[in-house]
Amino acid sequence: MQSSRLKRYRHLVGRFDGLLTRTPVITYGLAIPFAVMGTVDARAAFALSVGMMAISLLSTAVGWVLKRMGQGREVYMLVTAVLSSLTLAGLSRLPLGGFQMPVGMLGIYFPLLAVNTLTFFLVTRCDEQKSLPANLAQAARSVLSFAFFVMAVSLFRELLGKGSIFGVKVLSSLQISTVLMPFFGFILVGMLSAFCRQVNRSIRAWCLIKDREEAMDAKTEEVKA
Amino acid sequence: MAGFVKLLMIAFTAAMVENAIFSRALVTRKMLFLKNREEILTFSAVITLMTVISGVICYAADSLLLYPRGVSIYIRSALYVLIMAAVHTAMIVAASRKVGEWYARAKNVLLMAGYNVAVLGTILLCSFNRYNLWERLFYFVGTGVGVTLALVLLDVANQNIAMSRVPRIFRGLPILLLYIGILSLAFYGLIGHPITF
Repeated sequence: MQSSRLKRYRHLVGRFDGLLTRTPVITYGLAIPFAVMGTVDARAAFALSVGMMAISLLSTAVGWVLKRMGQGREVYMLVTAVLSSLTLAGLSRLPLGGFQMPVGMLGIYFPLLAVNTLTFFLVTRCDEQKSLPANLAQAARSVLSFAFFVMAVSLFRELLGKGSIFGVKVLSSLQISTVLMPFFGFILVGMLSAFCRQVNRSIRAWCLIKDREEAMDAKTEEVKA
Repeated sequence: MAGFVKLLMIAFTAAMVENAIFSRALVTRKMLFLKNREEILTFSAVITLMTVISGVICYAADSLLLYPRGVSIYIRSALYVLIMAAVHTAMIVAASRKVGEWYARAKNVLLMAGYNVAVLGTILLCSFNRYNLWERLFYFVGTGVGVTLALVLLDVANQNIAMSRVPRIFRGLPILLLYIGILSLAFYGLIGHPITF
Protein backbone atom coordinates (compact mmCIF):
# COMPACT_ATOMS: atom_id res chain seq x y z
CA MET A 1 0.00 0.00 0.00
CA GLN A 2 1.44 3.40 -1.00
CA SER A 3 1.94 6.02 1.70
CA SER A 4 -0.22 9.15 1.42
CA ARG A 5 2.55 11.77 1.24
CA LEU A 6 4.33 9.79 -1.42
CA LYS A 7 1.06 9.36 -3.30
CA ARG A 8 0.43 13.09 -3.19
CA TYR A 9 3.96 13.78 -4.43
CA ARG A 10 3.52 11.34 -7.30
CA HIS A 11 0.19 12.95 -8.17
CA LEU A 12 1.83 16.39 -8.13
CA VAL A 13 4.70 15.11 -10.26
CA GLY A 14 2.21 13.60 -12.73
CA ARG A 15 0.48 16.96 -13.16
CA PHE A 16 3.76 18.52 -14.25
CA ASP A 17 4.75 15.57 -16.41
CA GLY A 18 6.99 16.71 -19.25
CA LEU A 19 7.38 20.19 -17.78
CA LEU A 20 9.26 19.71 -14.52
CA THR A 21 9.44 15.93 -14.42
CA ARG A 22 10.30 13.42 -17.14
CA THR A 23 11.86 16.32 -19.02
CA PRO A 24 13.12 15.73 -22.54
CA VAL A 25 16.76 16.76 -22.09
CA ILE A 26 17.53 15.62 -18.55
CA THR A 27 15.41 12.49 -18.30
CA TYR A 28 15.30 11.19 -21.85
CA GLY A 29 18.52 12.68 -23.22
CA LEU A 30 16.82 14.22 -26.25
CA ALA A 31 18.11 17.18 -28.26
CA ILE A 32 21.64 16.79 -26.83
CA PRO A 33 23.45 18.73 -29.64
CA PHE A 34 21.27 21.78 -28.98
CA ALA A 35 21.57 21.55 -25.21
CA VAL A 36 25.37 21.36 -25.48
CA MET A 37 26.24 23.61 -28.44
CA GLY A 38 23.25 25.96 -28.59
CA THR A 39 23.54 27.20 -25.01
CA VAL A 40 26.61 29.41 -25.33
CA ASP A 41 24.44 32.51 -25.67
CA ALA A 42 20.98 33.32 -24.25
CA ARG A 43 19.83 34.88 -27.54
CA ALA A 44 20.82 31.73 -29.44
CA ALA A 45 18.98 29.60 -26.88
CA PHE A 46 15.89 31.77 -27.34
CA ALA A 47 16.04 31.32 -31.13
CA LEU A 48 16.40 27.56 -30.61
CA SER A 49 13.38 27.51 -28.30
CA VAL A 50 11.21 29.43 -30.76
CA GLY A 51 12.27 27.15 -33.62
CA MET A 52 11.70 24.01 -31.56
CA MET A 53 8.23 25.15 -30.47
CA ALA A 54 7.16 25.97 -34.02
CA ILE A 55 8.31 22.70 -35.58
CA SER A 56 7.21 20.50 -32.68
CA LEU A 57 3.64 21.79 -32.65
CA LEU A 58 3.36 21.61 -36.43
CA SER A 59 4.90 18.12 -36.55
CA THR A 60 2.65 16.87 -33.73
CA ALA A 61 -0.45 18.10 -35.57
CA VAL A 62 0.64 16.55 -38.87
CA GLY A 63 1.77 13.33 -37.16
CA TRP A 64 -1.62 13.02 -35.42
CA VAL A 65 -3.42 13.35 -38.76
CA LEU A 66 -1.12 10.81 -40.46
CA LYS A 67 -1.52 8.31 -37.62
CA ARG A 68 -5.29 8.61 -37.81
CA MET A 69 -4.94 7.85 -41.53
CA GLY A 70 -3.07 4.67 -40.54
CA GLN A 71 0.33 5.75 -41.86
CA GLY A 72 3.45 4.05 -40.49
CA ARG A 73 6.53 5.42 -38.75
CA GLU A 74 8.55 5.82 -41.94
CA VAL A 75 5.91 8.10 -43.46
CA TYR A 76 5.42 10.44 -40.53
CA MET A 77 9.17 10.72 -39.86
CA LEU A 78 9.73 11.69 -43.47
CA VAL A 79 6.90 14.24 -43.46
CA THR A 80 8.07 15.60 -40.07
CA ALA A 81 11.66 16.16 -41.26
CA VAL A 82 10.64 17.85 -44.50
CA LEU A 83 7.97 20.09 -42.93
CA SER A 84 10.32 21.07 -40.11
CA SER A 85 13.08 22.12 -42.48
CA LEU A 86 10.66 24.22 -44.52
CA THR A 87 9.31 25.85 -41.34
CA LEU A 88 12.83 26.65 -40.15
CA ALA A 89 13.69 28.12 -43.55
CA GLY A 90 10.65 30.36 -43.19
CA LEU A 91 11.49 31.31 -39.60
CA SER A 92 15.02 32.28 -40.60
CA ARG A 93 13.53 34.81 -43.04
CA LEU A 94 11.45 36.56 -40.36
CA PRO A 95 12.02 40.29 -40.82
CA LEU A 96 13.07 40.71 -37.19
CA GLY A 97 16.66 41.85 -36.67
CA GLY A 98 16.55 40.65 -33.07
CA PHE A 99 15.70 37.14 -34.24
CA GLN A 100 17.85 36.83 -37.35
CA MET A 101 21.06 37.63 -35.54
CA PRO A 102 20.87 34.77 -32.99
CA VAL A 103 19.79 32.42 -35.79
CA GLY A 104 23.02 33.37 -37.58
CA MET A 105 25.00 32.75 -34.37
CA LEU A 106 23.75 29.17 -34.23
CA GLY A 107 25.43 28.25 -37.51
CA ILE A 108 24.44 24.72 -38.57
CA TYR A 109 22.50 24.07 -35.35
CA PHE A 110 19.40 26.04 -36.37
CA PRO A 111 18.75 24.11 -39.61
CA LEU A 112 19.69 20.93 -37.72
CA LEU A 113 16.50 21.34 -35.66
CA ALA A 114 14.73 19.72 -38.64
CA VAL A 115 16.06 16.29 -37.58
CA ASN A 116 16.10 16.71 -33.83
CA THR A 117 15.16 13.76 -31.63
CA LEU A 118 12.73 15.73 -29.44
CA THR A 119 10.38 16.42 -32.34
CA PHE A 120 10.55 12.81 -33.53
CA PHE A 121 9.88 11.66 -29.97
CA LEU A 122 6.81 13.91 -29.67
CA VAL A 123 5.44 12.71 -33.02
CA THR A 124 6.05 9.04 -32.14
CA ARG A 125 4.44 9.49 -28.72
CA CYS A 126 1.44 11.33 -30.17
CA ASP A 127 -1.71 9.32 -29.42
CA GLU A 128 -4.24 9.29 -32.27
CA GLN A 129 -6.95 8.09 -29.85
CA LYS A 130 -6.73 11.34 -27.88
CA SER A 131 -7.86 14.70 -29.24
CA LEU A 132 -5.52 17.00 -31.13
CA PRO A 133 -5.52 19.76 -28.45
CA ALA A 134 -4.49 17.20 -25.79
CA ASN A 135 -1.56 16.04 -27.93
CA LEU A 136 -0.55 19.62 -28.70
CA ALA A 137 -0.69 20.49 -24.99
CA GLN A 138 1.62 17.58 -24.18
CA ALA A 139 4.03 18.62 -26.95
CA ALA A 140 3.96 22.24 -25.76
CA ARG A 141 4.77 21.14 -22.18
CA SER A 142 7.81 19.18 -23.33
CA VAL A 143 9.10 22.00 -25.52
CA LEU A 144 8.57 24.54 -22.70
CA SER A 145 10.65 22.28 -20.49
CA PHE A 146 13.36 22.20 -23.16
CA ALA A 147 13.18 25.99 -23.51
CA PHE A 148 13.42 26.50 -19.76
CA PHE A 149 16.43 24.19 -19.59
CA VAL A 150 18.37 25.74 -22.48
CA MET A 151 17.62 29.30 -21.33
CA ALA A 152 18.82 28.54 -17.79
CA VAL A 153 22.00 26.82 -19.00
CA SER A 154 22.72 29.50 -21.61
CA LEU A 155 22.30 32.34 -19.10
CA PHE A 156 24.80 30.61 -16.81
CA ARG A 157 27.29 29.89 -19.60
CA GLU A 158 27.02 33.33 -21.17
CA LEU A 159 27.45 35.06 -17.81
CA LEU A 160 30.55 33.04 -16.92
CA GLY A 161 31.95 32.77 -20.43
CA LYS A 162 31.37 36.27 -21.81
CA GLY A 163 30.33 38.28 -18.75
CA SER A 164 27.09 39.28 -20.47
CA ILE A 165 23.37 38.45 -20.42
CA PHE A 166 21.47 38.59 -23.70
CA GLY A 167 24.48 40.36 -25.20
CA VAL A 168 24.49 43.11 -22.56
CA LYS A 169 27.82 43.33 -20.75
CA VAL A 170 27.27 42.81 -17.03
CA LEU A 171 30.60 41.63 -15.64
CA SER A 172 33.67 43.01 -17.37
CA SER A 173 36.21 41.18 -15.21
CA LEU A 174 34.77 37.66 -15.49
CA GLN A 175 35.34 35.80 -18.79
CA ILE A 176 36.12 32.10 -18.56
CA SER A 177 36.21 31.09 -22.21
CA THR A 178 36.40 27.35 -21.47
CA VAL A 179 32.79 27.54 -20.23
CA LEU A 180 31.75 28.06 -23.86
CA MET A 181 33.48 24.89 -25.09
CA PRO A 182 31.52 21.71 -25.95
CA PHE A 183 33.10 19.69 -23.13
CA PHE A 184 31.65 22.07 -20.53
CA GLY A 185 28.21 21.65 -22.09
CA PHE A 186 28.42 17.85 -21.84
CA ILE A 187 29.63 17.96 -18.25
CA LEU A 188 27.00 20.54 -17.27
CA VAL A 189 24.12 18.56 -18.79
CA GLY A 190 25.39 15.35 -17.15
CA MET A 191 25.70 17.02 -13.74
CA LEU A 192 22.27 18.66 -14.01
CA SER A 193 20.73 15.31 -14.92
CA ALA A 194 22.30 13.70 -11.84
CA PHE A 195 21.29 16.66 -9.65
CA CYS A 196 17.63 16.44 -10.71
CA ARG A 197 17.62 12.70 -10.00
CA GLN A 198 19.04 13.37 -6.53
CA VAL A 199 16.40 16.02 -5.80
CA ASN A 200 13.65 13.57 -6.84
CA ARG A 201 15.12 10.77 -4.71
CA SER A 202 15.55 13.06 -1.70
CA ILE A 203 11.95 14.25 -1.85
CA ARG A 204 10.63 10.68 -2.21
CA ALA A 205 12.82 9.51 0.69
CA TRP A 206 11.60 12.41 2.87
CA CYS A 207 7.94 11.58 2.02
CA LEU A 208 8.51 7.92 2.87
CA ILE A 209 10.23 8.70 6.19
CA LYS A 210 7.52 11.16 7.23
CA ASP A 211 4.75 8.71 6.34
CA ARG A 212 6.43 5.90 8.30
CA GLU A 213 6.87 8.18 11.32
CA GLU A 214 3.19 9.09 11.19
CA ALA A 215 2.22 5.42 10.84
CA MET A 216 4.42 4.51 13.83
CA ASP A 217 2.90 7.33 15.91
CA ALA A 218 -0.60 6.20 14.97
CA LYS A 219 0.20 2.60 15.93
CA THR A 220 1.73 3.67 19.25
CA GLU A 221 -1.39 5.65 20.10
CA GLU A 222 -3.56 2.67 19.18
CA VAL A 223 -1.58 0.40 21.49
CA LYS A 224 -1.79 2.96 24.34
CA ALA A 225 -5.52 3.26 23.86
CA MET B 1 50.60 14.78 -54.46
CA ALA B 2 50.09 17.96 -52.46
CA GLY B 3 46.41 17.85 -53.37
CA PHE B 4 46.07 14.29 -52.14
CA VAL B 5 47.82 15.15 -48.86
CA LYS B 6 45.40 18.07 -48.44
CA LEU B 7 42.47 15.68 -48.95
CA LEU B 8 43.92 13.26 -46.40
CA MET B 9 44.29 16.11 -43.91
CA ILE B 10 40.63 17.02 -44.48
CA ALA B 11 39.64 13.42 -43.72
CA PHE B 12 41.85 13.40 -40.62
CA THR B 13 40.35 16.71 -39.47
CA ALA B 14 36.84 15.34 -39.89
CA ALA B 15 37.70 12.10 -38.04
CA MET B 16 39.81 13.40 -35.18
CA VAL B 17 40.15 17.13 -34.81
CA GLU B 18 36.53 18.07 -35.57
CA ASN B 19 35.05 14.78 -34.46
CA ALA B 20 31.28 14.78 -35.01
CA ILE B 21 30.54 13.52 -31.51
CA PHE B 22 33.27 14.94 -29.27
CA SER B 23 33.81 18.32 -30.93
CA ARG B 24 30.42 19.06 -32.46
CA ALA B 25 28.03 17.08 -30.21
CA LEU B 26 26.23 15.60 -33.24
CA VAL B 27 24.95 12.68 -31.21
CA THR B 28 21.61 11.21 -30.13
CA ARG B 29 20.75 9.19 -27.05
CA LYS B 30 20.16 6.02 -29.06
CA MET B 31 23.65 6.28 -30.56
CA LEU B 32 25.12 6.30 -27.04
CA PHE B 33 23.44 3.04 -26.08
CA LEU B 34 23.83 0.79 -29.13
CA LYS B 35 23.74 -2.82 -27.99
CA ASN B 36 26.84 -4.47 -29.48
CA ARG B 37 29.70 -4.06 -31.94
CA GLU B 38 27.62 -5.41 -34.82
CA GLU B 39 25.02 -2.70 -34.28
CA ILE B 40 27.73 -0.04 -33.99
CA LEU B 41 29.39 -1.10 -37.24
CA THR B 42 26.04 -1.40 -39.04
CA PHE B 43 24.98 2.03 -37.83
CA SER B 44 28.32 3.62 -38.77
CA ALA B 45 28.30 2.01 -42.21
CA VAL B 46 24.76 3.21 -42.88
CA ILE B 47 25.59 6.71 -41.62
CA THR B 48 28.66 6.90 -43.86
CA LEU B 49 26.77 5.57 -46.89
CA MET B 50 23.86 7.96 -46.29
CA THR B 51 26.24 10.90 -45.90
CA VAL B 52 28.25 10.06 -49.02
CA ILE B 53 25.26 9.45 -51.32
CA SER B 54 23.19 12.37 -50.00
CA GLY B 55 26.25 14.58 -49.89
CA VAL B 56 27.13 13.95 -53.53
CA ILE B 57 23.57 14.72 -54.65
CA CYS B 58 23.55 17.84 -52.43
CA TYR B 59 26.83 18.95 -54.00
CA ALA B 60 25.30 18.56 -57.45
CA ALA B 61 22.30 20.62 -56.32
CA ASP B 62 24.62 23.24 -54.78
CA SER B 63 26.83 23.62 -57.86
CA LEU B 64 24.14 23.56 -60.51
CA LEU B 65 21.26 25.28 -58.76
CA LEU B 66 21.82 26.82 -55.37
CA TYR B 67 25.20 28.57 -55.35
CA PRO B 68 24.66 30.36 -58.70
CA ARG B 69 21.33 31.75 -57.40
CA GLY B 70 22.75 32.75 -54.00
CA VAL B 71 20.17 30.71 -52.07
CA SER B 72 20.58 31.04 -48.29
CA ILE B 73 21.79 28.09 -46.20
CA TYR B 74 18.41 27.71 -44.46
CA ILE B 75 16.54 27.15 -47.70
CA ARG B 76 19.39 24.94 -48.95
CA SER B 77 19.05 22.84 -45.79
CA ALA B 78 15.37 22.22 -46.59
CA LEU B 79 16.44 20.77 -49.95
CA TYR B 80 19.17 18.72 -48.24
CA VAL B 81 16.57 17.17 -45.92
CA LEU B 82 14.41 16.29 -48.95
CA ILE B 83 17.42 14.65 -50.63
CA MET B 84 18.29 12.77 -47.40
CA ALA B 85 14.70 11.58 -47.10
CA ALA B 86 14.71 10.33 -50.70
CA VAL B 87 18.05 8.54 -50.28
CA HIS B 88 16.95 7.00 -46.98
CA THR B 89 13.68 5.76 -48.47
CA ALA B 90 15.55 4.27 -51.45
CA MET B 91 18.00 2.54 -49.10
CA ILE B 92 15.17 1.06 -47.04
CA VAL B 93 13.31 -0.19 -50.10
CA ALA B 94 16.50 -1.68 -51.60
CA ALA B 95 17.49 -3.31 -48.29
CA SER B 96 14.02 -4.77 -47.68
CA ARG B 97 13.93 -6.31 -51.16
CA LYS B 98 17.53 -7.50 -51.57
CA VAL B 99 18.54 -8.49 -48.01
CA GLY B 100 15.17 -8.99 -46.29
CA GLU B 101 16.52 -11.11 -43.42
CA TRP B 102 19.22 -8.56 -42.51
CA TYR B 103 16.71 -5.73 -42.94
CA ALA B 104 14.34 -7.30 -40.38
CA ARG B 105 17.20 -7.36 -37.82
CA ALA B 106 18.63 -3.96 -38.66
CA LYS B 107 15.38 -2.03 -39.25
CA ASN B 108 15.63 0.12 -36.12
CA VAL B 109 19.26 0.98 -36.78
CA LEU B 110 18.40 1.92 -40.39
CA LEU B 111 15.61 4.21 -39.25
CA MET B 112 17.84 5.84 -36.63
CA ALA B 113 20.63 6.41 -39.14
CA GLY B 114 18.38 8.03 -41.70
CA TYR B 115 17.19 11.27 -40.12
CA ASN B 116 20.29 11.81 -38.08
CA VAL B 117 21.95 15.04 -36.93
CA ALA B 118 25.38 13.62 -37.83
CA VAL B 119 24.38 13.16 -41.50
CA LEU B 120 22.70 16.52 -41.99
CA GLY B 121 25.29 18.30 -39.85
CA THR B 122 28.18 16.96 -41.95
CA ILE B 123 26.49 17.97 -45.21
CA LEU B 124 25.76 21.45 -43.82
CA LEU B 125 29.36 21.91 -42.67
CA CYS B 126 30.69 21.08 -46.13
CA SER B 127 28.15 23.42 -47.68
CA PHE B 128 29.11 26.23 -45.27
CA ASN B 129 32.80 25.75 -46.06
CA ARG B 130 32.12 25.51 -49.83
CA TYR B 131 34.19 22.36 -50.28
CA ASN B 132 34.51 20.91 -53.77
CA LEU B 133 33.41 17.35 -54.58
CA TRP B 134 36.64 15.54 -53.60
CA GLU B 135 37.00 17.53 -50.39
CA ARG B 136 33.45 16.68 -49.47
CA LEU B 137 33.96 12.96 -50.21
CA PHE B 138 37.03 12.80 -48.00
CA TYR B 139 35.26 14.83 -45.29
CA PHE B 140 32.27 12.45 -45.37
CA VAL B 141 34.43 9.34 -45.14
CA GLY B 142 36.51 10.96 -42.40
CA THR B 143 33.35 11.79 -40.43
CA GLY B 144 32.14 8.21 -40.80
CA VAL B 145 35.46 6.89 -39.49
CA GLY B 146 35.37 9.40 -36.62
CA VAL B 147 31.82 8.44 -35.63
CA THR B 148 32.77 4.72 -35.73
CA LEU B 149 35.79 5.28 -33.49
CA ALA B 150 33.80 7.44 -31.10
CA LEU B 151 30.99 4.88 -30.80
CA VAL B 152 33.47 2.04 -30.23
CA LEU B 153 35.15 4.14 -27.50
CA LEU B 154 31.78 4.78 -25.90
CA ASP B 155 30.88 1.08 -26.08
CA VAL B 156 34.09 0.23 -24.22
CA ALA B 157 33.26 3.01 -21.73
CA ASN B 158 29.77 1.58 -21.20
CA GLN B 159 31.24 -1.85 -20.45
CA ASN B 160 33.77 -0.41 -17.98
CA ILE B 161 31.14 1.75 -16.31
CA ALA B 162 28.83 -1.27 -15.96
CA MET B 163 31.58 -3.04 -14.00
CA SER B 164 32.30 -0.03 -11.77
CA ARG B 165 30.55 1.18 -8.65
CA VAL B 166 28.87 4.26 -10.00
CA PRO B 167 26.56 6.25 -7.64
CA ARG B 168 22.95 5.58 -8.50
CA ILE B 169 22.14 9.12 -9.56
CA PHE B 170 24.92 9.03 -12.14
CA ARG B 171 24.05 5.67 -13.69
CA GLY B 172 23.13 5.62 -17.36
CA LEU B 173 23.05 8.93 -19.22
CA PRO B 174 24.71 11.31 -16.67
CA ILE B 175 27.95 9.32 -16.31
CA LEU B 176 28.18 8.80 -20.06
CA LEU B 177 27.76 12.54 -20.69
CA LEU B 178 30.50 13.24 -18.16
CA TYR B 179 32.71 10.71 -19.91
CA ILE B 180 32.05 12.32 -23.30
CA GLY B 181 32.77 15.71 -21.77
CA ILE B 182 36.19 14.56 -20.54
CA LEU B 183 37.03 13.03 -23.93
CA SER B 184 35.81 16.22 -25.59
CA LEU B 185 38.22 18.15 -23.35
CA ALA B 186 41.04 15.92 -24.63
CA PHE B 187 40.01 16.63 -28.22
CA TYR B 188 39.88 20.36 -27.45
CA GLY B 189 43.45 20.02 -26.21
CA LEU B 190 44.33 18.46 -29.56
CA ILE B 191 42.83 21.39 -31.50
CA GLY B 192 43.92 24.14 -29.14
CA HIS B 193 41.24 26.61 -30.23
CA PRO B 194 37.45 26.75 -30.43
CA ILE B 195 35.96 25.53 -33.71
CA THR B 196 33.36 27.59 -35.51
CA PHE B 197 29.77 26.46 -35.79
